Amino acid sequence: MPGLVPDLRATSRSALIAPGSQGGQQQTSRVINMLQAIRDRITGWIAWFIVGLIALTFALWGVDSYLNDDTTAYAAKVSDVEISESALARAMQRQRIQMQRLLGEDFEPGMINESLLRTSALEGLIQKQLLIQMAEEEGFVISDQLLAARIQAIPDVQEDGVFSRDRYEMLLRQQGMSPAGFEMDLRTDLLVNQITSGFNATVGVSEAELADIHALQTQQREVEYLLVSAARIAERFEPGDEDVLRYFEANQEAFHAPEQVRLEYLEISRDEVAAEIPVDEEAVQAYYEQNLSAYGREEQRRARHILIQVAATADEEEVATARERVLRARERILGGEDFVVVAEEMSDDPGSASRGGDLGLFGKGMMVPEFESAAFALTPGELSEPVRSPFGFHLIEVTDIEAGEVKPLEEVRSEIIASLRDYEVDTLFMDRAEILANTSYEHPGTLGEAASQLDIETRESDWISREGGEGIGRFPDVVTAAFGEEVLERGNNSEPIEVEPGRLLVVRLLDHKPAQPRPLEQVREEVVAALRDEHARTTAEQRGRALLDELKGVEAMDTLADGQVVQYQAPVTIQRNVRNHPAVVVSEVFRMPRPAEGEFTHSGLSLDNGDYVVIRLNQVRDGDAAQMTDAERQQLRQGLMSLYGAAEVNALLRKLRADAKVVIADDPQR
Amino acid sequence: MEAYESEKEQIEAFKTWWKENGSSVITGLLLGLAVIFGSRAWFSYQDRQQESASHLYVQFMNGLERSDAEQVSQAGDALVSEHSNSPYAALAALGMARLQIEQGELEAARAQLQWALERGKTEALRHSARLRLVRLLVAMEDFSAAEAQLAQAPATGAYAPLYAELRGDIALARGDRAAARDAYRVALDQLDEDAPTRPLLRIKLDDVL
Repeated sequence: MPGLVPDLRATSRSALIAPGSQGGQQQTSRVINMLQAIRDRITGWIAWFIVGLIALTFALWGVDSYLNDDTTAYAAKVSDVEISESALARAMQRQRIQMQRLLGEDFEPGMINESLLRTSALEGLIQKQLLIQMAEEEGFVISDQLLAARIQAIPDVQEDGVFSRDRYEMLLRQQGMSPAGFEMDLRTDLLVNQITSGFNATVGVSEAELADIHALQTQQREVEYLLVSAARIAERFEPGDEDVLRYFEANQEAFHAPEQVRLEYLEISRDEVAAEIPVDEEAVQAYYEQNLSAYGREEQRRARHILIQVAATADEEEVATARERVLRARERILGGEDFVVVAEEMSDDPGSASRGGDLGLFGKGMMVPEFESAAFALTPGELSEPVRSPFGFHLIEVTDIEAGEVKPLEEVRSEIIASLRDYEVDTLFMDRAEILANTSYEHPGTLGEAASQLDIETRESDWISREGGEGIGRFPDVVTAAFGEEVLERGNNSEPIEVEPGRLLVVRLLDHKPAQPRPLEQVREEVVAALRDEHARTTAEQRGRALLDELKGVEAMDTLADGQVVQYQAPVTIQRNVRNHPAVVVSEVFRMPRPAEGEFTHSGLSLDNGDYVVIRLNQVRDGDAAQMTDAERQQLRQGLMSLYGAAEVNALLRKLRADAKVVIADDPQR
Repeated sequence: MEAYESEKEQIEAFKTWWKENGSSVITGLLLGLAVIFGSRAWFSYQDRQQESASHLYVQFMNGLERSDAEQVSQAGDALVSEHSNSPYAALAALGMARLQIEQGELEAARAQLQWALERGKTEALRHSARLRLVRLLVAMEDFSAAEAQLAQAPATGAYAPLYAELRGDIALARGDRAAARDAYRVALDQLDEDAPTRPLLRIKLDDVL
């Protein structure tokens, strides 16, 4: 019953959504009131009969359907099943983390386009929901046993290799989830996975197919080409003053100073809210002590021992003999003999005797209790009295102690504080976000009202153009809002913009500089560069096309090159994935028709930098499957399996999507 | 007194009514309860069936992952014979076909795919079975059988581009590059911009330009 377990953490992430977690309780009390009213009116057996009927329906269908009416805003509906805003917020957060991981150090918060992220995360959830619904309709099912087995196999919820319910529940609590909610999520994940892996893992790829695809993928083409260099043409071109003036006048707008705005804005952030909440030192201390094991490593000891074996069930006589032997061993060591020698001679422990009795490092909980308490009571170098364990008598000597390390409170303080007040911060931030949103909307002509209600200062940005700018100008959503109708033309406050999770801005126009013409003297160099570029491009293309015509009657291609503007590339063999030739050239090479034996085919194309390439294709050689190694064959097979599987799943999703009724709610931030 | 009389009368009236109708009321109630509990039992039987198919399927997939032919055929045969109404049966047929293809037993694989196509419960799995069957038939060079299968495939809808690509493959295998080109073009036009097979299809088309 996920509806009864509101995920507070996630709901509050999305700052603008009214919390719907009260829904369940209100529903419950409504039902109770109704029952009360009925009881008051019960006068005869008819009423009791009705009550009985009602009781029967509850007994048969449960009370769920009455209580599950969750009024949280939904982001989308897939055939009447809602995808909640909080689920979407969680999915978006997962994608953000993924992007961060993918980009590593190159990651910057402003890089993420929040509305694109929203769209793609929502599409993912819709697809998942479509698959879930199909699974239910078609009779795919994950049984309770299977679910339990999967959970118990998660290493994090095991203690000493065995599932621990306490650990499981604690871990979920730490992540703000209930077991019911988690199990529901896991069940649907397993269900969806059953379908997708069902498609992916069952594709068979025959040898003939492998050979065909291999032939295509590793095909080699031998080409030679002429490159008409635009840069070389540009170098040799000096436009006259008249040309410059004419070009400037014809293209004036291209040389204008760009339109710019300066913004006034209010900002609230989760971090600032967090800083205002006082720290409860006692709570921090208590949390630290409760979770001490998470912050360090326990003490470990290294010891050696001599074991005189005697079974736990041995009779008195056997015990006495063993005790005698162990005391003798002890006397020999105390008398100055080397522990190692005595251990090798007398110890009954086959594992350690040959190593002079050494047991290596161990922590608490790894040895039998009698042994452990003795070993942890000794000082290094001290020889124990005989210790009786189920194995027999031990003589123990501790050889080394590695003290336990625990991170000091100071080191983990901020971490603890963060987890302690996560919830409080979310609530407070949400309240502020609501004030910001409402007040700036009710007073669209000023930020002052919202500023004074929130008791914060308005701030001012630098100049920002449509390409962005410094400071808040690096957030694409801010730029879009700044040049949008509401802010630029009407002069109103913007909607709240969530530039990154937990950071919300409302902006309004402070100053506006329209695009301005600049005099020729200021932009002369830009004009000359533009002219050169244009000239070089057209010339290179004309020259290239002429070469292409000429080439068809010429056997030796290199005779057409001059080594300057026209450069010659001698025959090379190219594969699809090579990188030492321009990518567009490679893909053009593999698009050219195959030449007949002893003949050529030709093609020409312009590159982005203005160069023109004239290509001659000499020969095509298909890849030979007989030369594949087993590893290559296996790799290609795997690749094709997942490709065909993905294609089928993709088609399935398209079909489900087309057949289902999918409603996407308006973005609440818009 | 009046009230007492009428209450007494009411009880009398109820008694006569009960004499006449009591048995049918009780029969009706019992019948209703029988329907309710019977259907519950039926549904729970169905649930158990689905669950046991699901368990077999997990075993099947584990076997498939390790290419354990024995486990695959044991769980697979059980699914196909005892749970033929379940989607897991069709998946098992597809998976058994995979193993057979990898072991070069193409005829056996053909029969499995044929079963999944004709008897599979889920439409999506029937599409998959047809796509895979056609690919297999092309590999076996039984082009007319492959074409006969494609003749029954829809020319529009989500699966159309995948079928069109196969038409191209058949044409190319028959040596008709022009027809292959046309079919690949149709496939490329119908395919989504971000469809996973797009790059390979592009390569195929480029090669017959």
